[in-house]
Amino acid sequence: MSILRDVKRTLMPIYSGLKHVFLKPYTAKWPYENIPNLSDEGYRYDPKAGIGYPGNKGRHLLHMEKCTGCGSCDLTCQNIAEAITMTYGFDVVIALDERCYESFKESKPEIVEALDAIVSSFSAEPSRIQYNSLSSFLWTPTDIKQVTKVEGGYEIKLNLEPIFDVRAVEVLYQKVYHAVENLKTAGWELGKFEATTESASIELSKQDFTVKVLVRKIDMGYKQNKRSLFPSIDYGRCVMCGFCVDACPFQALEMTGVFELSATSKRELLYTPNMLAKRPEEFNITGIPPELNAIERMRMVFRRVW
Amino acid sequence: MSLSKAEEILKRLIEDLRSRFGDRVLEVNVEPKKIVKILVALECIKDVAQYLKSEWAIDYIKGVTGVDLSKLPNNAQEALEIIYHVGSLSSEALKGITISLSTKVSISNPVMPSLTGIWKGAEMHEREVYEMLGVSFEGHPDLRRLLLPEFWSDGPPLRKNYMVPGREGQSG
Amino acid sequence: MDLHLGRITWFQGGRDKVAREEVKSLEVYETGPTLTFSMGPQHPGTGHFRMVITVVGDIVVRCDPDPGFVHRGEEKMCEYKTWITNIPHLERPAILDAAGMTYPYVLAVERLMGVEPPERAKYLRVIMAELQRICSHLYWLGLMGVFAGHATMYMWCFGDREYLVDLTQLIGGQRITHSYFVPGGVRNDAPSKVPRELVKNFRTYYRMMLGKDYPSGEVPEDFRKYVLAVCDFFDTRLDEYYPMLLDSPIFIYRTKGIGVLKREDAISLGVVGPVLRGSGVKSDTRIDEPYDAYPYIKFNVPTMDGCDSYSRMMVGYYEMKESVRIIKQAVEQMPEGPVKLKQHPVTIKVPAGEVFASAEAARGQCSFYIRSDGTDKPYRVKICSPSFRNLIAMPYLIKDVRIADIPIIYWSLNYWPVECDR
Repeated sequence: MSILRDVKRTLMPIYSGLKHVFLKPYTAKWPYENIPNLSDEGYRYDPKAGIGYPGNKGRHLLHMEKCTGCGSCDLTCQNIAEAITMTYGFDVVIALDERCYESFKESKPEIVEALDAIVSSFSAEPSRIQYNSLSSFLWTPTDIKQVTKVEGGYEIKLNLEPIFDVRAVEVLYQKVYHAVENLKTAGWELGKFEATTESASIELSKQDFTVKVLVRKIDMGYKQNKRSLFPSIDYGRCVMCGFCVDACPFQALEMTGVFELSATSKRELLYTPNMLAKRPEEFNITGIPPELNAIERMRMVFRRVW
Repeated sequence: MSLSKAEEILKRLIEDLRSRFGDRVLEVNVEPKKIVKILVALECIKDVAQYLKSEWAIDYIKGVTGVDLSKLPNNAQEALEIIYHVGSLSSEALKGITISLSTKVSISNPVMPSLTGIWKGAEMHEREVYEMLGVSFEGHPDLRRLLLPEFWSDGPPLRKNYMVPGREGQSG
Repeated sequence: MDLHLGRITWFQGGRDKVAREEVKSLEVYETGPTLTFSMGPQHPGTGHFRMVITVVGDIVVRCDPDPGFVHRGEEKMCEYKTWITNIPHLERPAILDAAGMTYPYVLAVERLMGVEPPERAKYLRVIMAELQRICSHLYWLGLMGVFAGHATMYMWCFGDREYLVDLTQLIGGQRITHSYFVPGGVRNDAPSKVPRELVKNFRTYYRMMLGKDYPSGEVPEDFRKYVLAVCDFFDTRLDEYYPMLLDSPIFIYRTKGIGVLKREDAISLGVVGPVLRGSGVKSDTRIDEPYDAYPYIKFNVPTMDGCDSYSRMMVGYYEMKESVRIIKQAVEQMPEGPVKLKQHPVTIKVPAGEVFASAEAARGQCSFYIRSDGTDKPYRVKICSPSFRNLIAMPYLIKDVRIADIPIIYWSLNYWPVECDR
């Protein structure tokens, strides 16, 4: 009898595996399907009661209309993961005097070369930069948002999402530095350089042309946050502990159930306040990717074994 | 087991130690639910440990801690405090009590006798204290590095004068 | 050298004894050619951990454990961070058992502050700690199946673990590293309702694994009842684990009599947890120095007298059963009320002093020695982690055994390199 028992127990795993050939697969086909077990509720904290509400600790949600820019979340995170930074929003303006602007309109090669270099350093798509660096006036309308006439010249406002950073000079350094280096080899000279926390500018000159790159703080227009200071979160560092949510005295930060935070580069993991303010519905990456054709979509749906 | 009974036994243990080792038991700190700490002089720690093991059946080692006392705000001393957290599994009465047997060695000459002969389990713990605080244990069978890498050439990292690179400005 | 070491008899146990006697009869044992090589730190069943092994034939004559590949300086890091912000990084050494690692820290800080958490928080902590103990043990049992060549057990354990991990997520917000415990209570209350999708899925899973519908028809959406339903389900599943793995002749042959740690050695080496209890010593921090809600809950401390790898696994198995019992009782007894003391969420004041506090983590007793100098940061934090205390047993156990038994012995200690290195 004992041998029979042993044989039975040796064969049991095989039976258990074979059984599942005939059962419907239980595995969820993530990311083409939602994971059903998760609730959508995120972790929140009530500062008055001093207690949190249960929920998933996923990606943050920033209520910009509540945030006062006090920096409590930053201070807490300094001791945990150093993922949160308080940032201003900046936009970039290229200032030209009238003569420069006229010659720019006439596509004089020197001035187009300079502007090309500066604009392309802000552009995220390399392919478009190559297209634009032809020596004619071929900028796509998406590059320039607005040209305004100011005293003594024109200001070209670039069509960019606000760039969030700690100081204006950081934006200048990180974004324009390479363009300036390239232009220096092309004979351009560095002129006046100014930098404060909220704005920074640099002048470039060649022959009679003078180009000025200006980085200026955006006023977001929130009454409670006159400085327009908001947290940015680097999800390459965040450990999702939620103590920043606890620390916020105004309930401006909360967490959502979104855990799909994968990216192909480290820079994409840095979420700016604008991205954090988006509702999780707008961020949902789950589902069949739209670029697949019909046959591939059918395969995704009906495929049983991965 | 009621707490009062354990406290009574502890009291007897400490009186026994005091009568036997006299003023070489420097300090006794018994705080219920927090810590039972017996600070003894360096030269008699081995005798005290041996006595505790043979007479009071303290046979179970839980950990060895080293503390650098040089930056304590109130009474900073140029010394390292080595604490042996020991308990008993053989004696029913002392179960659940941790005695922190401690001694002080000077930072300039951090040498103390090893207690591996009394509590065999202290071997790895002493190796860790050796590399983390630079205390060498005389009579240890195998005093080598344990956790730190072979190329580590800075000072012992858990001493207070060691600054973590990148965090020099912060207090720690 | 003659590597043929003779016939090995099946189903008799004590295989390493046979091997040892055969090797001793060979003259080469003392003087002959030995081979020393390093096992790890790539994963031969020992992730991030290396053993320098000396062999004669395929019999190990010496083993020198070499930890430290994942040493992160947690103790030094504690001195730079404040009392509460220490919690997220303290659970990293043992992510499967985050509650077990932070529990003694939180207890220690509470004792220094001289505060007691509210009653409900005590029960919630117990539920969380036991859930994580089960999850950690399921990982242990599942990987033991892999090491013993029994892949079904791995699939079963990880499939069932999913519903317990989901419970952890419902309460603490994260599957493993939840930062749920804080000095003065827990961070949030348990939810009152369970998502409908989860309940639906659980019902499907229940029918699939047990071959029958959930007894009383609908699985409840009420949190308390849902936890009880999952506990009942898991208890039934545990009964199926026994004939599947633990009573399987292959598994018994691989583990019985392998890696014997005698009772006296276990005490003198200072090992903890299932390793200590597998050697027949009845010692459990939850009973010896009861903390939080454990004094109000009835449970047993399983011990085994086999002293071998099999006994240690069996202790782990019975501990899961006891944990299910504890969770059931805690859920039923849990009173209503606040779960956290009124305090600042991230900045707390801790008076100067010293404390030594222990709690029973999944791998055994985990203790913290904390010294405070009255500032906002600890002066010294020492972690006596269970894996570090079990490390010392390794050279004693991995001796006179075959190379093929090393993964079994190693994993029967439930050794977790990150927890050891801290």
